[in-house]
Amino acid sequence: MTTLAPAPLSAVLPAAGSAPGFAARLALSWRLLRRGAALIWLASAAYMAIEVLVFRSAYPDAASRQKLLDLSTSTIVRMMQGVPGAVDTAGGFAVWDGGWLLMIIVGCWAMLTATRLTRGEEDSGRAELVLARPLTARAALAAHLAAMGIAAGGVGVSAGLPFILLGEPMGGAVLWGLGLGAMCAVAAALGTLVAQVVEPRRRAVSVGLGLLAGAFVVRVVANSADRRSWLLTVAPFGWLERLRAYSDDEWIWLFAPLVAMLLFAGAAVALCERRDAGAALFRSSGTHRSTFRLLGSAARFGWRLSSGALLGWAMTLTLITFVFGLMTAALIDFVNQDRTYRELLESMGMDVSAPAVGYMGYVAVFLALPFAAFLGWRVGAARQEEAAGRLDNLLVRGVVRWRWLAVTTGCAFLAAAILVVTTTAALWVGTRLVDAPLTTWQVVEPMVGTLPLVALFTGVAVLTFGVAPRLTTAVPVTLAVLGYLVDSFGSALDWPTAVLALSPFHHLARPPGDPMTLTAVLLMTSIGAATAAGGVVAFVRRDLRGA
Amino acid sequence: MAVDSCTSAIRTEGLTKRFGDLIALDGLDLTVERGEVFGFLGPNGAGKTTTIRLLLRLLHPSAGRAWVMGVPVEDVARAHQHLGYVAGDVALWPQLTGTEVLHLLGNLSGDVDAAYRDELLQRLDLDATRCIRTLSKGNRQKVALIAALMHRPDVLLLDEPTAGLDPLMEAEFQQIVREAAARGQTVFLSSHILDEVEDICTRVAILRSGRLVEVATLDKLRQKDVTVFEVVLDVSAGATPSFANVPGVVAEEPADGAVRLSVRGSPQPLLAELGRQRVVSLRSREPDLEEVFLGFYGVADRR
Repeated sequence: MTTLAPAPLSAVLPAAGSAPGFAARLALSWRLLRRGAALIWLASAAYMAIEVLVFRSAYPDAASRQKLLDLSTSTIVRMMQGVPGAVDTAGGFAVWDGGWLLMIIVGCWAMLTATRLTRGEEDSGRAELVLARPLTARAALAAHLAAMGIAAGGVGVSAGLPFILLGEPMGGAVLWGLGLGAMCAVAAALGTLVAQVVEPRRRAVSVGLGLLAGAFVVRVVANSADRRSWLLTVAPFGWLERLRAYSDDEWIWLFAPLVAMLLFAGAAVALCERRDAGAALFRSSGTHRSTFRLLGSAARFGWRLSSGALLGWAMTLTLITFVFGLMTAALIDFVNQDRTYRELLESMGMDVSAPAVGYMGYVAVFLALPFAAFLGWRVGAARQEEAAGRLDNLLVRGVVRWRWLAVTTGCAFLAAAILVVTTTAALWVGTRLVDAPLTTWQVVEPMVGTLPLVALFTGVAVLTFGVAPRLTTAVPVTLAVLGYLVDSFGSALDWPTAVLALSPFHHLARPPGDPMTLTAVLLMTSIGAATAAGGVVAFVRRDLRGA
Repeated sequence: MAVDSCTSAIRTEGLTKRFGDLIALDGLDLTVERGEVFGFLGPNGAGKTTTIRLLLRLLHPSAGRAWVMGVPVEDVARAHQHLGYVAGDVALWPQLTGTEVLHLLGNLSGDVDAAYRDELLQRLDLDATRCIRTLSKGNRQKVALIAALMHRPDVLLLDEPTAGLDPLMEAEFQQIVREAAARGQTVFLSSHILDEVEDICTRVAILRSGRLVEVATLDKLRQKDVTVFEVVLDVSAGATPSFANVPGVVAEEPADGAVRLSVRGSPQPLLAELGRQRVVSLRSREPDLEEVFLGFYGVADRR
């Protein structure tokens, strides 16, 4: 008999009314970002803790710390890292040496997450399930902003707590934590605002990251000379520097991010009801001239899908590497003048007997991290095609699985190799412009040396895709960050050689005295090839899996 | 591609799929002949999509085998030359236009009949110059249908293909399917829209909880076991009684003073029960597909 018993709906659905609806939306938003938030909290805490420990290990006495202060004389160094304040203290050093990178990472994460939760959910149509409930669009957006606020608060706590736990002064730790947390909230609110104005998600991400990049460039320009320091007032990354945690403790500057956050979030909430659900204020055109470029085969189409993002990665990394190239001359001067800094660099694995050459090795190791992360993203994009069901369209038309993944793997490696080539070219141009005492080969060699590591991480990403597809991006990126941290800080912290040797970054070239060994090249390449092959086999043997 | 003329369009032997403890498909033995329009019926979760994804080798069977036009499905490069597929949940690239999607998928399938593709675009009234992102669900479905049909494959695997189409387009789709069958193409149509299956299918299979319950032509299915009795009762003395517990009664639809009863097997227990009631009129007829369908599931629910 086909009769249905009434399901106990009240047990699974929140009750009508704005307060329970808001709570349910907040819980959903939090659920969608909690893993990323946990990772960023962990990374912030670990990074700051390591910076403090490295400082104590490399600068044990007052004399050596005093010399660090001289760093502020180098224009190029302070353009990237900011004007140093109290770098003769562990707190001041950590905030100056690691803070700039951490604020970029946190800012990008907040921007990407905010866009994913707003524009991404709307593009996929999932947001409509929520908006069909008795909950206004404003309340839904406010709930999402609240979830991002919790994440930002967590970032602040995890960036400040290590200082307190390691016995550094409380005031600076709280100020720094509040500043970074507020910066995270500003980036999230800005991302949410951009998502109200621009569609689809891809374009919103480009605009959002572009604004962040612009803010960083303003900060770099502001730090290039004292007379331009007023520019720090207009860029979010500059506000964090204005706090001068651990030196002057300018608490008043906390108002800047607070006001900006309220403005951006308020504007986003005000605008969200002036537009249709699923659409932005500026609607993108629903049509474009069809182009049949790269639609001839699955392989070519894969390249077409990823070419835009590859261009973004290439442009960003090329710009950064070009600045690294320009910094060569300033670094040589500084290393020649400062024995302590030389020792610090040595403790982190850089050969400073010929500083320019050693610096090239250092830059190559640093760039190997985004190269490895790129592979996690690139193979992760293939996983997204599978999860969304779009890959079915190819695999039901005679595209053989092993061949598809093998070609995708080859293209991922090729794309990473293109990154290596463009960044090498930018580095070379940068060093030439400042007349650095380097031959072309001395610039190229360590960069080419990252290719075996690229091969290794290609294999790791493909194996993860074959065996545990839902972790395709997370595993290679996490392993790359861990490997980089072990190599960068393990030496300074006197970790055993056996532990350091576990990091593939540890086996990259350290010119001039320590080139990459043939064994390392062969080992990384063969492990990469074997894991890639294993990944292809695993993919062929498993079922396709949705999200 | 040369195919033995005796070969069935689709054949499965003991095809089984387990997801952990869940048995999604249990020992499916099925043969679909060439040129048939074959309906594959079942409620949500019965295993219809799993079967189609096994035939496409998107899933690997836990046991059993399957062939498409005589080619083992694991030989995807050859088997897929015979196949066209429309997923129940169409997922396409939002940034591409419909034209670009058709161009890409046409390149992968090969042998696109461009004139036929253009005819389909016109008949289904699709503006393919728009980005997929801006298309409605029904229009995306049309893109997928055209992509599946435009190279005139031997076998069409259609997984609830009309979800999202308006009635006019649904009628056009049915006409296109009939024409395909008339040309000798085989259509494997998974659906729970019984009218649609009744309109275009020559034979149907009914799936329940991963198991094949019945395979028959529509005529045979209607004659099979289930009879519908429409009974008008004199209920002046009280409410219409329920016959739900009478052995053989698998569905009961009461109306004011009347009741429609689907009976599987012998009507003897029902007639005995009716003998105790004040019957004004009694009429029996063959069931429509919905009543047959409910008959199968009604029995299951009573167990």
